[in-house]
Parts: sequence; C-alpha cells; structure tokens
Amino acid sequence: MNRRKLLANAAVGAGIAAAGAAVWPLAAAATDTGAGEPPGEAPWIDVGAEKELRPGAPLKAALRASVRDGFFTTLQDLGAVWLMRSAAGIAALSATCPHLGCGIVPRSDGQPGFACPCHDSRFRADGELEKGPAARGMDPLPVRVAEGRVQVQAARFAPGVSARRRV
Amino acid sequence: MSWLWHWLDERIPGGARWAYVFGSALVFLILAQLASGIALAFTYSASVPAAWASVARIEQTALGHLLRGMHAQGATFLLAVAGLHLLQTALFGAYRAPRQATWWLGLLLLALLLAFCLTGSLLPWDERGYWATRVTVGIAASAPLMGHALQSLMTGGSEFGNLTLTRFYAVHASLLPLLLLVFVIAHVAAMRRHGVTPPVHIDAARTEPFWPRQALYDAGFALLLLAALLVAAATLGAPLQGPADPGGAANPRPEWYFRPLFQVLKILPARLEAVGAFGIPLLAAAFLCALPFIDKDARRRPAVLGGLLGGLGAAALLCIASYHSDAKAPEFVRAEALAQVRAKKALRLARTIGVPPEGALAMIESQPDERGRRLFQRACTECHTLRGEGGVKAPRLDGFLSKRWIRGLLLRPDSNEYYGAVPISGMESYKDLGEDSLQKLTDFLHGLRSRAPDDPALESGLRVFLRADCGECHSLKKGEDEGGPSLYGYGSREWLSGMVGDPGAPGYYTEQNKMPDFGNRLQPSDIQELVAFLQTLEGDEALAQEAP
Repeated sequence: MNRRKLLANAAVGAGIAAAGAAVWPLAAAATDTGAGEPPGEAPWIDVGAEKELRPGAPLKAALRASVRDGFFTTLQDLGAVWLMRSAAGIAALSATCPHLGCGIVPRSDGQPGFACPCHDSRFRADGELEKGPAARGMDPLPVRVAEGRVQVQAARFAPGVSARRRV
Repeated sequence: MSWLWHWLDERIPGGARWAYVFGSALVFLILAQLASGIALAFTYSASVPAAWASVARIEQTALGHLLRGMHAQGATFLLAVAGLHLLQTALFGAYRAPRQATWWLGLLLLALLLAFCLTGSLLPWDERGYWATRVTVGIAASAPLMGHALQSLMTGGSEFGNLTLTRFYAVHASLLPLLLLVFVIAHVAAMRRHGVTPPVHIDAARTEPFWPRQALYDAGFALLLLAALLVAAATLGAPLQGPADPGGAANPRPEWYFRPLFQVLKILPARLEAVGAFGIPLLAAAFLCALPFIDKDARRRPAVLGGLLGGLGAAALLCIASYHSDAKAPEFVRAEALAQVRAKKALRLARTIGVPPEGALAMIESQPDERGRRLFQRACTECHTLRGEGGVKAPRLDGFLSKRWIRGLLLRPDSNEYYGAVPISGMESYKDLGEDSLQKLTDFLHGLRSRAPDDPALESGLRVFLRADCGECHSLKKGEDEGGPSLYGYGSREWLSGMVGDPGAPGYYTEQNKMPDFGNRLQPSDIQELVAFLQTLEGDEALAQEAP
C-alpha cells in the first residue's frame, strides 16, 4: 500500500465514521419524546357537577388538564369524555374512537348510542360495540365523584386492536 | 457553455414526443413547490398555539392566499402528473432491463411525494389536518409489531402536541426535500444513462437531439401546467378550517389520492383491517417493483397491463364510491357546512380581535357565544336538537329565529320540529295566509327584536299581524299575558334572557310552561352567554327546516 492509497482509505474511513456519528444525534432527536409526563398518578380532571347528569342524557366534556407538552407546560385538551348515568352509577367513556382515533358523536338517527363520523363505527348507549370497523367498544375511563363533582382520569388506548391496551 | 450544449444535444431514441413531457414537468412542479414552500416557511410557526394563527396570517394577505393555494394545489398537480408519468413509462415498458434502477427510483420518489402530502396536511393545525393525521397515526399505530414505536416516533409522546408539529415540520421541510433532491438527481442521471424508451413500433435507432423539439414540448407543457396551477390556486386556494379542537369531533376525509384506501378501511371489518391498511398498499407497491421481473417477454405484457389498469380502475371506482357515499350522507353534509361556519368565524376573529399567545382555540373560547355554545350542549340538548345532536322533546333550534325558521313556525307550528312534541298547543297553521302576507308577517316577527311594533318600517307586517288575529293570543306589549307569549322584543337579547331565565313568567308560557327555569340553575352571566349563543343560530339559517 502506497502513501496515496493509505491516505485515501483513511479519509474515506474518517468520512464514514463522521457520518455514523451524525446518526446518533439524529436518532436521539427523532426518538426524544420530550421531558415526558411527570411521574405519578394521572390527575383527576373535573368534568362537571354530578346533578347535571340524568339517565338517558349523556354529556360530553373536554378533558382539559395542565400538561407538559414538549417545550410548554400548558392547559391542553387530552381528548373528551362522554359521561352517563345509569342504574349502575356514573360511567365515563372516552370520546376517542377505538378504531383510529376520531371523535365519537351521538348517533344522528335519533336512536340512543354513539357513532364515529370517520369510518361509521356504531356503539350502543352503554358504549358496547354494535358495528365495526372498530374492533372493541368505547374505552371506559376511571371516574369518581367527589363533593358533588364528577372527576375523570384521561387515558389513551392503542387504536385498531381488539385488546384494550393503555399507551 | 459546452456542458449546456452537451445536455441539449442528448439523443432521444425514436425522436421527440409529447409523451415524454411528464418527467420534466415533475421537476418543474417540484421546484415550484420548493419555492412556494420556502415562501410559506418565512411566516409559518410550528407550535400548537402558533401554527393555525401563522397560517391564518398567511391566508389574510393576497399573495399569501395565492402562495398557499399554489402549494396545496401544487401537491395535487404533482401527484396527478406523477401518476401520468408512471402510466406512460409503464405502457411503454420503460421498466425493463437495463432501466430497472430508473423505475425503482421513480417509485421511491412517488412514495416520497405521498409522505410530503401526509406530513404537510397536519401543519396548519386545523380541524381537518388534525383529525386526518390522527387517523394516519392511528393506522400506523395499528401496524403489527412496530405500531407502538411508529406512533411514538410520529407524535413525539403519547399525545398530539408541540413535538408532533415540530417533527412533522422537520420531516416535511428539511428531511424529505433533501431526500427528494438526492433521488431526483439519481433518477434523472439513471434516465440519461439509458435514454427514454420509445413505443414498440418506433425504430429506436433513429434519434433526434433534445434541442429544440423536445425542449419546446417540455417547456410548453410546463407553461401550461403553471397557468393551470395559478388558476387553481387563485380560484380554489388552500383549505383552512377552524383551529384543531382535540375535545371536539370532525369528519376528516383524506385527499383524493388516499380516498381508495379510506373507502377500503370503511368497508372492511376490523379483523381484516391490517389487510386493507397495509396488505393492499404493500401488494400494489410489490407489484410495481416486480414489474421488471414479471414482464420479461412480450407474451406476458397483456397480463401486466391488465393488472396495472385493473388496479387503477379499482382505485378510481373506490374513490368515486367514497365521494358518492359522502354526498348522500346528510350528517356529513351538515358537518361540512358547520365546519365552514366555524372556519369563517375563526378567520374573522383572527382578523378582528387577533390571536392571543394561548392560541386560536383560546381566542374562540373567549367569545361569549362560544361559552354559550358549551353551556347549551350541557344544559339544553336533553330536549332541543341542534346541529343533529340532542333530544326531540322541544323545538329544533337549527336556524333559530331566522326568517326561514319563523316561516316554518307559522306554517307548521304543530310539527315535531316546532311545538308538536311540547304540550303547548293552540296555535294554528297560517299556510292559508297567502305568500305575500306570510312574507310580511315573517318580516314583522323577525323585525321585532330591534324595532318597536309600531315602527313605521314594520307597518305592513303589523297590519297582517292584526288581520290574522295573532293578537288574540300574543300581546305586543311587554310582559302582557294573552295566553301565548308576548312578542314585544321577540328574539331580542332581553326577550331571550327572560325566556331562558323564567319561561313560566307572565308574558311567556305561564302555566303551560314545561321548560326548566334556568334562572335558578345558571348564573346570570351564564344566561347572557347562552343568549349570545342563541342569537348566533340565525347564522345557520341554511340548516333550518326547509318550508314545504
């Protein structure tokens, strides 16, 4: 190996090493999910007064909480929830479609129950799946009543699959 | 200058043809996208509070409106011309050896163009972009094995937010352009190495230089495209809906080039979803990539062309079916109309009061009528239907107090859209009044919110009111009870506040009343906001019941 060839090989090797080194910060930036949620239990979000809820009249509420969103700590809507009262008590169903994440609305044909305007999934009044393409019923969220106020914990679930897996 | 002549003297096998213009047209369109994209980036700001506001700012200047139009319509032009280019090269068999690399690079470029479209649609952070991207990310998240990793890579966390926007922007405006540039150069270099593929019946040995005929064909087509793009940009512009509301809901629909896939997802049951979302696109991509291997001799050519055209035909049919089923779905049509109303309002507010640093959603929510809308949803939809949501125990309020709504009330007071479902009765239909008198009475009732009943401007309507004996049940004096509600100030803020606050009071429904008295349930400021909202419903006049 003469000097020219050695230098050339060294230059190519250094170039590859430099390019490889550049991949690291690039991958780190792409996989950085921000400062992340502060550890601990998800906050209980106030969504209204218990006395507002009447059987057969579901109420929708935005799940607004102060969260760390990348570079801001800000009030943010973490989706919405459908609240309903039945004989079994108060239930909170996520308004995020378990199919692909659109917002669920009441059915427009006057029947009780819910529908997704994107791909036309239908849900019964108790949130159970009536007709796909969604693979499962509406996702229930943790709910409690404290001093007459209904409180809900926000959560997101993996879309598109029949198993209810929190993300 | 010798390199230029070297370029221009490139020999074209079989001679110049119009069929070869699509490749250079794509380069031209890509450069146009680059130019409009850089211009937009001078104003655009990628964060949740700022994105919609910055796009609205662009939209509100004449040049900005045109630039956004060029960028959005340019994407459609690019994909349409890319489709034609693919079809032309496939029909001429240009994927055959030795040109496989050119073909594969072209397919890669097509994938990059689609990635541009997917990442670009989120950037305005409007309703459509937000919800459509949620679906895109939802599809990615339901991918076998790597779904979760894909989702977190795309959103930058578990929730859509600032990092989602910065990611999409970084990919859309720096990573993808770089890749596109590299692969366009590689594609063009590979093409020049082997030249174009003439049709089968043309003698490839006879050649012609690129200059002047082919160059002029290319330039002519590019100019035609530019003219069409300017017209499309100026007339259609770029869609901008209201700011994204993650607590709301929308009817997002993909652009036309993703409609076939959208329709497949809608048709397929859940267990076949992966087949539709990943199987079909992957199969199509694999088919296109494998063309150089499949189509090696002339006997297989009809089957290959049949597969290609059959696939395209199926996609076109699915696309048409998708638009068709939307057009005949009343809830979709209504949701689109409401989205238009929200978009107009948001743009008007951005222009007049401006967007605060908390973002465009906060701007909208600061409006009394918007707070009223939220109150309405909680307090009133158990009985009243509005915009397709709510109960049927009380009058429907779409277009409430608009002339069309009042006219419908006069014609059909006992129908279920009005007082048919309420145990209040006694009012008869005035359909026999005659068109002219009906019109005058409608105008009279509509005018009472801002004028006294004896105002000269309302004189002719007042005469009809008296002639039709409306006064037997409805007084025109404030708070006076004649059996039915007093119509003094009908529809005004004061009248509505009384109606909402205490509907059983004298001058309203007295003992016939079945509506809760919200004065006892809500704060006075809440009632004012609710009334402010009710007064905006007139703007939805188009949604009011069509009078027969």
